[in-house]
Amino acid sequence: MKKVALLIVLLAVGVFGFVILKKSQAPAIAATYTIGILQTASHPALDATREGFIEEIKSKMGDDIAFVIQNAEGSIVNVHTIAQQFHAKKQFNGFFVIATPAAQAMAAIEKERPIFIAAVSDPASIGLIHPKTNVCGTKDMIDVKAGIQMLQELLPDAKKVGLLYTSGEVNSMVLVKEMHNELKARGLIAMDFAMSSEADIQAMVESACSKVDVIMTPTDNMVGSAIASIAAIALKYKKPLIVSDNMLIKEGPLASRGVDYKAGGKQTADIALEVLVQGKHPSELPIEQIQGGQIFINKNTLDALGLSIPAALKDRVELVS
Amino acid sequence: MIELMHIAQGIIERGLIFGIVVAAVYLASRLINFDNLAVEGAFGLGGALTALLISWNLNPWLALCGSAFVGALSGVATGLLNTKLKLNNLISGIVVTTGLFSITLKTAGSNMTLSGKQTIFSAMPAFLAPYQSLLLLLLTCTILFSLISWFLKTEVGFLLRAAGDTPQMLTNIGKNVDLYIILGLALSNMFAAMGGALFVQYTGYFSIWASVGVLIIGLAGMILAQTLSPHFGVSLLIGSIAYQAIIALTFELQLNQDWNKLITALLIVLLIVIKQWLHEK
Repeated sequence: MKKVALLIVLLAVGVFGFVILKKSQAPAIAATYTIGILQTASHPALDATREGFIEEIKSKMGDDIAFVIQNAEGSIVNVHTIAQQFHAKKQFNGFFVIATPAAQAMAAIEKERPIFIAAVSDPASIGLIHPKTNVCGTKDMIDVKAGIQMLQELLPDAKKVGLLYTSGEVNSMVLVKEMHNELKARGLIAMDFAMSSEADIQAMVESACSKVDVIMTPTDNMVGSAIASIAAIALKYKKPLIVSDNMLIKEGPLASRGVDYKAGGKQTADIALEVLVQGKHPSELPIEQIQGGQIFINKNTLDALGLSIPAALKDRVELVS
Repeated sequence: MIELMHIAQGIIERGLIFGIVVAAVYLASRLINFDNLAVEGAFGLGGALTALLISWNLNPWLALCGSAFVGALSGVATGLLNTKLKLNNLISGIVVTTGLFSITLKTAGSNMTLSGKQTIFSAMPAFLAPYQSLLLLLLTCTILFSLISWFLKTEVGFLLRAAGDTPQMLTNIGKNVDLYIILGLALSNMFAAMGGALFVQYTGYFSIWASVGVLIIGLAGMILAQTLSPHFGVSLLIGSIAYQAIIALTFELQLNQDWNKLITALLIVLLIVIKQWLHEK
């Protein structure tokens, strides 16, 4: 009886596997280089990073580079599974890893072939930078000083700043700490609003709105996925919301002077080409900060809050509506 | 072929680590008839404590023992909530998992790297290098599973089983059922925490999000295992490895991973239906 059960299970798995195999069999790749792309989760910023990377490489190399794209959909176990499968395959010349967990897993397993990172905030703190490293690329650490400078120029009357972030995200915690120091140095009061799950968001934002003059967020994945509802609540309470990811601006926050993830992907692509084509070793290349100091402001929100852009900022601002 | 070997080795290694989590799910749900949702919290806590202790340069085996100990404590907490405060099974587990998230976060932060530190995997002799993880995990699982198999044959083990099946009998012979429920949960969470500790040492870093979805890995592994045998034993490890193989297959086929969770859900339903159908015949 047990054997029958086992047989049925194996049969089901086999049939299932065969069907998918038939459907998804990719044509043989005839490119010089193959890059394995490991993305931690589906998220607008991470998707943009991947798109920027692929676009840039395609524009320089055409079809001479092939990609194998895998997405772990937020599961750390799966990140590790994919990294291990990438490592086992000799076809890959390098790996493009998006966000911290993917970078950590890949770097822990692959010690020889180059790993290109993007959307990682603090590569040093997770042990990716050392003399023999095979890791290079960009980090998405935002310029906290410049961001708070903008906040003050835009909202000179604001005194109490609420910092909204997820308590379990390493990138957020690093930035929030830095924001605290910077706000304190400028004589502003920082208040923490740390969420631990997406279900907390509404209550947390409402509580923040009733206590502070302006809400600020770091590059935070949970904030990123719930930005529309956060922006709507902030607007209801007539509180300005400053974010750190430029792509979120069209969803309703007031302003952002943050990271352009697509540009980050492109920048990493250029670094990857230096390694693959020009033969440089990753350890010779510093991990670069993403370029750009553009300020993005949502026109509708600006009008709804009855604010205007100060003259000093005008030439650096791009309005989004 | 070598590629396939490497991939298979990875599947077996992860299968063995999560086999310990499968054992945790089994010990609670089959032995004392308690669906233990605290497994996920204990897995995270075990991983965090191991990461913290190793970052203090403590012996990695001691770190593993430390994780096992706090895991057992979290099981005692779950048991006390259930038996003394009369919270229902599922709620006790959910409450403990929720609460442990904060403790886990305070223990090791949201992310901690172990690069450059001594783990049980890096302390092996060099000539075993390509297989060191596999050998070490095989050894660990053999010891753990033998211990539990032996324990279940002792008088306490027998009474533990009875606490799940026929609690009335325990009361009749003057034994405290609550005590055995707590003991069972302590064992279950101890295993979950050891799974978490091994996973952290194996991957070389701790992430607060690693425990998300661990319960379903344990459950799927157990259900696969039970198509082989209803008893505690090697079948649990085989079930776990089989589940990791299925997940690896979905990556290998470059399936859109959006479907991953649905595949897992359908697989579990399918297996349960097959089992029930076999029972009826």
